[in-house]
Amino acid sequence: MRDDASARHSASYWRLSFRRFLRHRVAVIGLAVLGAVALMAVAAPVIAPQSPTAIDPTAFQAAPSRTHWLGTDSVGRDVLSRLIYAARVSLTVGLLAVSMYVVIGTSVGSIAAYYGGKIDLVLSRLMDVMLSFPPLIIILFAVSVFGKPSLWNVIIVLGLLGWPAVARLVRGQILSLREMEFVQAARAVGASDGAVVVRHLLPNSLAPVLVAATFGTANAILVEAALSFLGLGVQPPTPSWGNMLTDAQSLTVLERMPWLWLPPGLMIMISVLTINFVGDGLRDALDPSLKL
Amino acid sequence: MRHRLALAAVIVLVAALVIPSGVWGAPKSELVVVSGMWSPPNNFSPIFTDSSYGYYVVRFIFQGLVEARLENNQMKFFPALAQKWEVSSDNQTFTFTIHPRANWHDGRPVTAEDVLFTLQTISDPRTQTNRGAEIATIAGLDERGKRAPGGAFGVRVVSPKVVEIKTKVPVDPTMFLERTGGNVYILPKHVLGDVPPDQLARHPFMLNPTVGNGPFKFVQYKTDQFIELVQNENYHNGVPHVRRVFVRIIPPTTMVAQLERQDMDLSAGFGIGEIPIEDWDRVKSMSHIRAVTFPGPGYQYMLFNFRRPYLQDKRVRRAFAHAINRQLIVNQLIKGEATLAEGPIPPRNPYYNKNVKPWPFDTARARQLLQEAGWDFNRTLLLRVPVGNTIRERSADIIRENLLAAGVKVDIQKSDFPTHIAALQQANYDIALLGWAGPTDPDVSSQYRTGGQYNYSYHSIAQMDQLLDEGVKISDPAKRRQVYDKFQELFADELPILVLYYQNARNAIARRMSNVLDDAAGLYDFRTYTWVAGTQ
Repeated sequence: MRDDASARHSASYWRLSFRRFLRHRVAVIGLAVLGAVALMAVAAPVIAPQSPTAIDPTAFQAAPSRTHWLGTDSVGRDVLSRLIYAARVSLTVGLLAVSMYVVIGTSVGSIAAYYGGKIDLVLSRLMDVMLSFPPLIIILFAVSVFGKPSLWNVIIVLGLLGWPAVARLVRGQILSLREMEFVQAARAVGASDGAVVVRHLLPNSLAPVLVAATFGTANAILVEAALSFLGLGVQPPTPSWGNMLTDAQSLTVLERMPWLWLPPGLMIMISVLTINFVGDGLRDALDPSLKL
Repeated sequence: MRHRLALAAVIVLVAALVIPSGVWGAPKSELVVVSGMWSPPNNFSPIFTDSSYGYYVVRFIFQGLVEARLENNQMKFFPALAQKWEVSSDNQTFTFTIHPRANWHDGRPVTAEDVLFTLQTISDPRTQTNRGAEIATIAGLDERGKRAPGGAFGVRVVSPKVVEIKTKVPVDPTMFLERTGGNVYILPKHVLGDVPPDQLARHPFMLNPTVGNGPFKFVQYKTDQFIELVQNENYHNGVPHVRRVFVRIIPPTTMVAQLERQDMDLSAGFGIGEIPIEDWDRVKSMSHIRAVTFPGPGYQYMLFNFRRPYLQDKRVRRAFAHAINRQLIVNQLIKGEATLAEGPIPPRNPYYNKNVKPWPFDTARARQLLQEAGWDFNRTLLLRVPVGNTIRERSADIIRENLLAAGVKVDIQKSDFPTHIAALQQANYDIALLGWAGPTDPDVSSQYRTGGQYNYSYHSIAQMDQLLDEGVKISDPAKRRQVYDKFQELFADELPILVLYYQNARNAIARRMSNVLDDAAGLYDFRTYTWVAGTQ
């Protein structure tokens, strides 16, 4: 009986939130654009006009033309095809890295909050320490220590370093939730620690985590672009928006060959911006009182 | 009235404060030249600065006994500290007479004792130096240029201005004069004579070399910004026409903007300050700039790791030579500003063998050679690429596609330069890219002899060792030539490494300066201190 009621309650909660989200115009548009980018990434082999690594020996740094809609890059590869394939890298990094640190952060945060005491003290100080590092420097260091810069290393490093923010969020939520009467009630009827956390505490602290994860995805995409730009991210010839931008380190290219850097730059901007819009929408929809 | 007086006093006071005193003191038409180089040097040690960046600055301030210069593929020698020099008929004794008016910047004379002190310091095993190889032919020294136990040191002071240097065996005078005569910059004994050799590298003098012997005097170094030099009014080979030289640290990407704004007069030159290929057309179109290009000594190449059994078959290496479209790299990536050659001796070197032609681009032939050699077409090779040189990084993408077309799978691994070199030193790669400055002397033993210090391919080819050993021992240039001709033929056949291209140097020189040699080394070449130039 009780389960049934809570299920009905939560269903209506999600339905309500969904309706609130739909009212947030910018977020809906953002979601649509993001969906299009995701589709582009998934269907890359079908829509890309050419192979992203094939070299056209007759056209190096060529301006947009009928054969190359967005021109060619510095080694004669089709910019449009690379742009499309690069979406895969950015989205993979964003999604996987964030899923990884959400899982770690949620576990650590709930353990710290639920058990409190010394465990909380140790875990909280650990979060403080990790949050006080300058993130990009640590990531640069970690990627080079891992030895081989690659897509997977970037994901792992981002995933391992991103969790403290989430953990803190979850901890804060659970700290206030665990004093609530329904949690006391669950304990009174003899529910185990695990059951209390998983069935009562976590579902109720999901909303802020979801919002944080969305913003985190945008951030991960930015960090990947920065790392690839520096040559420590995705290795050539795999295209990524960040390593496509490395061409733009010359004044002449910046001034006279906008097709080399404008498209990847725009794609980074669009994807980060839309994800942030979606995040805004989610936050307003899930919990209007929430401040993130 | 009193008010006016007070006002005048205030004006004078303010003017005195605001206008720096130097403005009125300096001559009005002072010739100032700004040279741009990519990175700052770590120090200015004449015997141990870290790189070409450091030696670029050192060469303004310090000189060797002679000045070596390549003209029309011939090495020529001009007086520097030495006024004249004699080579004995057995090509084993070299006597240098130092110019009577050659003085240190503090007024003390440059003497034969300074030369002896410099050579003793370099050959002392406790001294940190990278000049050892330059003096290794001197009697009493081992192959690294260090004092060997027993055996008399071949340097002798004949008189205060005359020094005599004996070599272990007869040597090619051109090689000796270039290396020991030209590349060893003389240290001031009266300043550094009492410094223990193991502390020389950290001595404050190496950051503030105020007592030099060259055409320019050191003024100051603003860390990571610029080095300021001023003409030596007492320079014995003629006072430079340029009053002041600023060597500014300008990253490659901003050089074009600096040239456009006339904030920079010339690029420092090969490997340390050149115009990026993207900006080349733009610099060529600047009316106030002379854009010069000429074959450089530097080449880019691909290393094969001979510790990998599958790269030991020379048919495999030749297949790579056929598979990689080097002409495309030159034409498209470098806009034609490079030359192809199949060996480590640069086409501009007098010892270059014109009859050795690069293997042509031929994917079908490459595939056939691979099949003959039993290549495993499922194998994936690790191609290591250092970051920094964007052209080289891009060439890796082309190489990968070319090799793929011939059936060789390649994974590219980029890393920063120190990591890259460490990987090469540990033989932790299959194929790798690297750049090198080809020598003016044809001896390339340190790279291509078995066990050579820079033999990162770890190859050992008996016949090649034989030719290299023979080459350094011959003092007659014509006979040496025959040996190195054979060496280059063998090299193209064996391909211990694959030369990708010899890149042209691309320099910018402001038109307001005349009489500057194309490679901009003219700045410190005494013969070109006849610039007539506008003022700044």
